[in-house]
Amino acid sequence: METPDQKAIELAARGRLVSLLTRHQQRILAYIHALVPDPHDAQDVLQQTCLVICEKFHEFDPESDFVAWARQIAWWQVRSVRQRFARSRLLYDDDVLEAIAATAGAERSDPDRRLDALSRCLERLLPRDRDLVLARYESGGDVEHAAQRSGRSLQAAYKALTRIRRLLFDCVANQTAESGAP
Amino acid sequence: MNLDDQNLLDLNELISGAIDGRLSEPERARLQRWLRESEEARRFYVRMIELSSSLCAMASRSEAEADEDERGKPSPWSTAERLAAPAGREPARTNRRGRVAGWVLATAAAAAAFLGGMRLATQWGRPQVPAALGTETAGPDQPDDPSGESRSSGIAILTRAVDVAWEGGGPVTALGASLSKGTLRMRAGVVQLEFYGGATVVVEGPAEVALEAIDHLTCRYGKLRAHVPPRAHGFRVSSPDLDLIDLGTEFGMQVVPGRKSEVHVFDGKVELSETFPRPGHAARWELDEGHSVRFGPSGVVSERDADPPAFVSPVDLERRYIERARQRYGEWTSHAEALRNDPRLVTYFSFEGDRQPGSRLLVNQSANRSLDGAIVGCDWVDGRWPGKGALEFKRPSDRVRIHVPGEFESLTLMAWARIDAIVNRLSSLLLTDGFEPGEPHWQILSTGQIVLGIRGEPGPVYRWKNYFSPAVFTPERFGRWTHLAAVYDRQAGTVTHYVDGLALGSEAIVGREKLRIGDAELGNWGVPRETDPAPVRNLCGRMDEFALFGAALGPEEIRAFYDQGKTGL
Repeated sequence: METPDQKAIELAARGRLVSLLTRHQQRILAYIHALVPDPHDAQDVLQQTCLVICEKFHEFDPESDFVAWARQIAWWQVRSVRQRFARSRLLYDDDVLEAIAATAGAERSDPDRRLDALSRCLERLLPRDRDLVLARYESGGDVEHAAQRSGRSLQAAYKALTRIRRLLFDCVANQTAESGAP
Repeated sequence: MNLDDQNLLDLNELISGAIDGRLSEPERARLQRWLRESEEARRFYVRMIELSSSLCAMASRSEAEADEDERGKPSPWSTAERLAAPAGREPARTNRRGRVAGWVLATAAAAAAFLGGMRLATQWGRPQVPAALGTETAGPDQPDDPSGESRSSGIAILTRAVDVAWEGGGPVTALGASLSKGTLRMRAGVVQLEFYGGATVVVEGPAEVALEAIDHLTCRYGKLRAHVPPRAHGFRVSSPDLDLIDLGTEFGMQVVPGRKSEVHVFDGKVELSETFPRPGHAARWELDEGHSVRFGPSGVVSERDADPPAFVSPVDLERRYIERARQRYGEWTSHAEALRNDPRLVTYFSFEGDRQPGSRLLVNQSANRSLDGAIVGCDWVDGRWPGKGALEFKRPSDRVRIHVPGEFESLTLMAWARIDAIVNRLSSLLLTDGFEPGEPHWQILSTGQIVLGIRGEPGPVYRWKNYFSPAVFTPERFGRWTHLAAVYDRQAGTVTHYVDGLALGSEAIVGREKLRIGDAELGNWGVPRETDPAPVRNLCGRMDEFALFGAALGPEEIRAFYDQGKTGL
């Protein structure tokens, strides 16, 4: 029979897990997204990864690096769902995947600062551009639908997204005083 | 290979194409070559992708907030807060097109699976609890309970403790704690246990007793006195030399290992059965009121009169408890007096002073007398010690309205509270009325976690930043006076939750808002609304001290406040 102490410990573990997931979800997603460039596919893999994280949380040593451990689980999720993404195909060959994983895994920066900067940079976009990029990333959104909403042709929307991403990238880099390119 | 501007333009094109899923074969090959051959290209790629994943987060949040705006209900809950609510109570959010917002989905599914009862307990290593409170388990796992009721494995409550020194250091349990099967070991002091079966037992240290069942106690050594009302007859006490079954009503037992066991019957009678029956004697026999029996070393048995004064009775204990409580109350009172002069103090309610039923004023003991609290509904009751003032929150209308002027870079919220139950999804400790940036919400989730939420600037990001503690108010803590503190330290850039003087970990501050409180409530949430009635957030329990400092207190100070205010019993 579970003692009140064990119950308390289990609840505390639950609390820790929720806390860790909340804090590091963005980092884990960024890692997955580097391997799976389609944003919605990346979300799917994140979901699967979180399930496995929860199942295996009792194996996690609290002294160790949660993000590294979570990324490891994410890596295996990406590898194992190769077959699923017939639509977008797992884009990269194995050796490229490994190279990306190594670089992405080494990322130690703070996503919160960047999110903060990003929100300010978004506000500086032209409203039409901002609507386009947010619509593209909304759940269930794709470029086609975002293009329609923004009154652009599909090709024009692709071009605009490329331009907007670069604008945001440079803006965020300036705000966080990091160099965007070596 | 250094990347020049043209390279970056090219890469940007390819990366955008990869994200939007429109790369031709040659383009894909080119991108792969970049990624394969150049670490710098990979770094640029990773950062561009990171921007893209940040845009995912941004888009999901602005969807969620657009939904809030549509429903006209601001939601101070972050994703994690909603998830921390018991599974099934909060429906997943949907965006305008009816699909679940991706951000919530990922962790919701995970948390739902987790909250859906995955048995972690059996997979954890031996829990770290001090030796004095045992963790012996009764046997095989509980079978699944389809009714879904919460279960307790408690068999007795610790209702009194005076001058107790627990074996193995520090306080292992507190008044009102429900104890399950296990061992209590005390070097000194007196405790009272109320068994769920009905018997009340006073144990004097040095002692080691094992709680076996709701009607069974083992005494390995020490002194105890039991009062067993009629419906609890049959209460059993085992010791090395004998087994005792009470037939009503009151008896004492003392065990000194290797030297003696004694049983004294003060009222009624008991049945004794010897572990090593003496030849020629019945193994089982009754001992009557007024008599005692002593089992000496080498099996010598002698009978004499019962000696009631030698055993601390519940009445004696009560007297000792009141004495000790009065002393602790006095000590706390001088500390409270000293606290009033702390220059960092903005608001301090000691909950003392005029406590007539008609008194609806909660006096602010810090310098600004004009900022007293207004009591609505709450009854005046006893706090940590008999005679100490406290307010009880139980009805949805119970609240204390306060006003705290000013802006703060750092803040410390501190309170002594007793949570008796968690009845709402969120229980307020301190909730500001409005939704201005920088306003804090300090409250308890139904999981028992404490959360400090800070309202952020309006915009596509961070309506609320919530800082969670692990689960603190689990059922084992209900009815226990607890010291709580939340420290928002702008300089260190951290938020820390403390419980009973112990830090529960720090989290980095996000956001630049100055904190402000203005109109707020203790124990509830008063949001003026024209349309919907406000969500019910009342605390279910008591509060008997509250302090708000316009500065960040350090761990030693918090610990000191806890030591000065702990019940000490």
